[in-house]
Amino acid sequence: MAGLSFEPNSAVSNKEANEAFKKGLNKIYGWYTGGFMAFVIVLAIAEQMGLSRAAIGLVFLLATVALYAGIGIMSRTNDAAEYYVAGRRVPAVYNGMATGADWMSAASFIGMAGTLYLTGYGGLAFIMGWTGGYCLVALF
Amino acid sequence: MQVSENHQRYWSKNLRITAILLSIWFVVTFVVSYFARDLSFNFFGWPFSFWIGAQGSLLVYLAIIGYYAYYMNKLDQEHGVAEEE
Repeated sequence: MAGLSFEPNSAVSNKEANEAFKKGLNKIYGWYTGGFMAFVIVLAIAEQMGLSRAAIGLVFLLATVALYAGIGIMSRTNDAAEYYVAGRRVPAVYNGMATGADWMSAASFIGMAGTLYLTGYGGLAFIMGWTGGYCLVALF
Repeated sequence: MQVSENHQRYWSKNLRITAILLSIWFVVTFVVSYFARDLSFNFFGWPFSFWIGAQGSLLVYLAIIGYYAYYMNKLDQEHGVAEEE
């Protein structure tokens, strides 16, 4: 993925480089999604054939850690803008999906449910605060 | 820095829409919560103030962000400062 980084001296225009980057990104995301679904199917088959629960958990953990380590190595960079915000070139849809994935996790399914049950109306501050905070980020 | 008439108009419009959207945000977030007990009439089976906190305000936030993005895009194009993409 370092090959997708923007070359300041390249001959193509800014717009064409953006289009190429987006196409590359779509392809990579497609491969990742397909690979993840294949991985889950393989694990399901292995479970039917008798793979123990502990082994499934271990395989899942090691595979995802290895995958993200590989992604980190492939996208290594020294530029601060590239590192923190991917050079500001990621399309808005993918950014939105990442933000949604932040919230659709154990924090919301387990944590928020418990907080609301225990604290009642006051717990709604967490729910309003999450989205309302993005509102402030957008307006300022 | 020379600030042209174009820029000043653009900026005052920006400030106005930000102020309007911020006041809507403030009402939905703080005013409704402050008067939560008085506003707990039945709303499709939920107390109104509770529903606002759980779902209504989130829908309003989405609308605010979407409308702001749409409005600013239009404003950028009108005043010639749109980002090329």
